[in-house]
Amino acid sequence: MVGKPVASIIGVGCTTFGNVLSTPEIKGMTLQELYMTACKEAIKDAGLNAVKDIDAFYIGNYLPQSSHQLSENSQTCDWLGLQGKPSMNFATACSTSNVGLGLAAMSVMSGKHDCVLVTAGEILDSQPKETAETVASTPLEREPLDIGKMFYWTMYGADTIYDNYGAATGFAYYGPWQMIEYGRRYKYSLEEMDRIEYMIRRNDRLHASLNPKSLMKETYEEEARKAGYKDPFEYWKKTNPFGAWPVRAKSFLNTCDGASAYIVCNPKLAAKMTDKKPIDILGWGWSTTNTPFFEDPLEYTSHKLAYAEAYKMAGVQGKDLDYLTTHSCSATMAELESAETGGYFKHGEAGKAILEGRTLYTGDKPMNVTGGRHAFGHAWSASAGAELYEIVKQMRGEAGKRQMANDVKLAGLQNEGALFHAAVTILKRR
Amino acid sequence: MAELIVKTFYDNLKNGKLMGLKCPKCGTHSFPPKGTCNKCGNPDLTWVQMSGEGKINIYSVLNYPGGEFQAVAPYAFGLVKMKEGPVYYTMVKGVDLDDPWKGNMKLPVDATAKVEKIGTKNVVVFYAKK
Repeated sequence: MVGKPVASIIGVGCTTFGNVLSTPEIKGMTLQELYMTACKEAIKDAGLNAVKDIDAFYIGNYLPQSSHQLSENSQTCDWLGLQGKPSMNFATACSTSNVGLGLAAMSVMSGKHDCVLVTAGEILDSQPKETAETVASTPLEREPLDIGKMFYWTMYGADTIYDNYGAATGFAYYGPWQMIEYGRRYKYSLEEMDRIEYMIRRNDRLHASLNPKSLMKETYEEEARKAGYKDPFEYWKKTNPFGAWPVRAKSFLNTCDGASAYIVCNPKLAAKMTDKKPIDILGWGWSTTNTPFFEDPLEYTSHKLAYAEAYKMAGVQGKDLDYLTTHSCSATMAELESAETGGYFKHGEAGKAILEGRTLYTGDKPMNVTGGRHAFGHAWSASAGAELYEIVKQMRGEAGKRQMANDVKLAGLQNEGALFHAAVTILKRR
Repeated sequence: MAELIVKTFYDNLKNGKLMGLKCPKCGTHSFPPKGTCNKCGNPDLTWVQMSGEGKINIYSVLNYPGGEFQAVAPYAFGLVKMKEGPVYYTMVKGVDLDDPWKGNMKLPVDATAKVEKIGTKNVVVFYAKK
């Protein structure tokens, strides 16, 4: 039996995902201004007033090494009109803004607060020039951040006691093993698995091209055509070496800067607080694992536990969902694993569905219509909030030309943070 | 006395020994060693030397691992199911690097651990048995 709403989402906001050094919509912004932009959109979306209506806020950021900030809650409260309100910083890496839904829901379920703002933001592609060793005249002086350094810091979220001093790297087991095991178990050749991987990223690019807030605006076909290839799959194979075999370099996530925000309120008050159709949270599940994350590459322990907990709380099953966002980090093929572990597809069916175009926004089993962390862009803590933003817009019918063919009444949001915190939230349109 | 699990592990690794922890109540092994039994919750574990035997179930090939490991790339990185039960992700050798797809289709294969010096680090490497 479908459960009762435990909290409701009444406003969402999201910046353009890009680079604060170059992307016009966010160029020159500080992290405070990214948070502020996303929060203003969410507050306006709900038709609220920050001072009068918001009781508390949670704020997420994963990588202080690039933001050069801690205690974002105190540094940002007055940028949001929330001076004096209760707050907390939080982070579970790339599942942060999925986890914020549960945190906010617990706040309203306890009766402590009626209305909670959650935001998360990240600047990954640059850092302030001022450090312990160097000086700058203003915080606006930033310099591009070496991606190797940025990933080194990011992997502070992996097992720093053992994995980082062994030969481990997440790029080996997070994607490649799923691709190999999927082919081995369901009798796909390497060429066929390569095509599935290509289709996932090709679909991501198509979805992102329809989204004005995305990092990558060009479809893969357009890129191939410009490079002189008629067949984009040939372009994929010939210009795209293996990063961690058998996953290709262009399968990888693309880092960026950005922020997302949403407002969660008591479900009994939702209809009074906003004119917008409330999106109810029915349940959520979280699960944490350190290495090893799985024995079977096609069933992450944390995914299985988080999905089970979320479905139990929500009173639904994976097959009931009209839409699912799975975490689409570097792990192209882990999207298959997650969709099947979560029961959105039966085991062994997701690969075929992707090849048939069923996971496109026009398909009957849509997935990751933002363009995912590859093409919409990945701003660590903020990305789940961007995916939630899309779910809410789609559920309300406000997605414009990228509106899904499916009428999305029930949706799942699955994410994971380094390394590994899995979070699944189940949402229902009222 | 401080319970120095990490120091004990790395000190022994230098001497080629794989030390793990075992739960005296339920028999579950922890490798690399962590402080509490995750099966029954027992906080009082005892040191054991691992056999170094296991099976390689799957492997990928890393071309750009970064850090000190870049010097030995490309290399295979696999999932090993150890004889005592733990699942361990690490460098594996003796597997097919020329055609890793074909190589993966032949798995699982028995393997034995050896500690090897790579850069400044002592790394547990599992060798596939012929």
